[in-house]
Amino acid sequence: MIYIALKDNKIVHVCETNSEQGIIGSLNYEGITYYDQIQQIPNDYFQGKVGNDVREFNSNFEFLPLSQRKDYVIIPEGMKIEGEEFVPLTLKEKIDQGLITLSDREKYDEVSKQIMSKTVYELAEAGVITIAELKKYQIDIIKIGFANEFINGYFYSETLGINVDLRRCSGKFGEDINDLQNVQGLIDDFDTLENYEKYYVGYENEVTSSMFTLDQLESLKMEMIRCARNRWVKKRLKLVQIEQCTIAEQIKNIIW
Amino acid sequence: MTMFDSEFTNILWNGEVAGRDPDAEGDYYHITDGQADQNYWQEKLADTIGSLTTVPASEFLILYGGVVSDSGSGQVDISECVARGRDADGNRRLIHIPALTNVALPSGWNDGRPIWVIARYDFKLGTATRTHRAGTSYHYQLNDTYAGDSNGYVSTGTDDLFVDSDPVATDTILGKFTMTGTTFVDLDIRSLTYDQDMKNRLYPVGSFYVQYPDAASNIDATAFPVAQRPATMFGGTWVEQFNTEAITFYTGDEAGDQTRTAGLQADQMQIITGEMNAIYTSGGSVAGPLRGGSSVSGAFKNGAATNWLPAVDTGAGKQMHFDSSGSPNARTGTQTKGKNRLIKLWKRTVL
Repeated sequence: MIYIALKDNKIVHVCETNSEQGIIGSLNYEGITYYDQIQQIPNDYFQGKVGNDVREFNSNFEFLPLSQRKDYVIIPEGMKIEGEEFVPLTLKEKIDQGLITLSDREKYDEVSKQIMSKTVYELAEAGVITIAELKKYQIDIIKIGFANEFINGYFYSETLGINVDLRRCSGKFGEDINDLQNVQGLIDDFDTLENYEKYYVGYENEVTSSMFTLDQLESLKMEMIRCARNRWVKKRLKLVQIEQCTIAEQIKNIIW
Repeated sequence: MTMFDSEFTNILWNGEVAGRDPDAEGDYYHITDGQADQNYWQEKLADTIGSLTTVPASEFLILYGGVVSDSGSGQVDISECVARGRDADGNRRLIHIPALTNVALPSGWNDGRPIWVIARYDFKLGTATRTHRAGTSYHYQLNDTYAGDSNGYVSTGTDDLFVDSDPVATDTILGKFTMTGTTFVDLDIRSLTYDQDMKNRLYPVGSFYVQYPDAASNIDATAFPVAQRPATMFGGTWVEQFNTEAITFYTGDEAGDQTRTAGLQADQMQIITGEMNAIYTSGGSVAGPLRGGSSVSGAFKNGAATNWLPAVDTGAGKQMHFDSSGSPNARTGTQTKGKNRLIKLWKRTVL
């Protein structure tokens, strides 16, 4: 039969023995002196363990439903009682209870309910990174924006009346997809090309030989050069602006 | 108790009486010499049996049987037994009691008082007789018997099986009970049995016993029935160990393992590393945000190739997270475990 020893209603010892002398001997063997009550359990399959509160059990020493013993039960770390079961704490609850400690580079996002990295601007505002480091980051952003526009950018050509690419790059296999060079090629060979070879593919639309003249191509070429120069100027101005900033909020607002 | 201290007749020693070998040669052989020799052998046998136990100095031992049970109508049954104990004079003896059924209690003892059933040696007359030189016939042989035999030398009947004061210091106890009217209550007190002593030797205090599940069941009574608990099988007091820790056992630690607290080591996992490029580069220049590339390594790996490369100034990027519970068929918990079944680990704390 099972005997338990209690201290302030908490089980401090459980043993299988045939007498009260048995549990007293067992307590002595284990060196347990902090008990104030010994009880024989009339249930051979008593599930109580050291740490349980005796008030968690009914008169047959079976566990009460969780909801009825929530004031006494030991809740496992990282869990909470919901209805009749233990469920994991939410991420927010774990953070609030100190089970998860956020680094100075992390934050809890209420919308996604996830731990997220702080933005560089938040890191700078919190002093985790310096303004100089933020400027370097923002300069990289501007350079990336600039580079991206030279890969994917376009502008409206007054000469042709269509959007044309601002491409200044090579293709995946090394093919020439530099639009300025393409236009220059048309100009250079304009007199020798057959009509069917004279066409220009813009950003979305195509124009053929009947729709443009050599002068228009020269004009388009200048539009492309000026447009590119504008982008270079835009980039330079933004980099200068960034260098002149003194606080993160100013830097954050300088975008491509 | 001193064992092996009984004396026997000197039929061996020489050198004290000139011309006699042994010294006792020619002396009269007294009847008390024969009685002493009988006692010598009885005690030597009893002491030898005691020596085979873990408590050789204990005079009271049940070798087998002697179970006291209710036979109804205010009477008891006592199964056949052999015990080590004493006679009425305190001499050490082996005692045999045959199976006894429907044994009545001493008159008036069914009043709820505690009653002990004892095994005490006695002897009785044998069946054979012969004519004494004085002219009368007498029994020249004796039989072993027990207190409770109506033909005993001391014992006058079954009442002598019972006492109502604790005989722990004088007799072998087969059982203790109360009888109130005809209601029998076993108080579960007996002298040490040889069977229990062997189990005590096999599982001394401090021994551990692993109880494996008897059946594939989540029900405690089915998987770990009381009948298979060590306290039931081996007696004594047993305490279940580490039953709140869900642990396995290791023979030692390696450098770098989690530090133990009170002997318990927290779960840990093998270090898994990985790396992803923070910013995708092309030709040494920053060319875009994170995407799979050659600098992905370790626990991370590239997926299918894609040409999709979002512009940094349009749309909204998303962070990458790792959560094992999102893995297909993931089974998650507070620690990583292999497939397993429950066991119970017990430690003996009292004999």
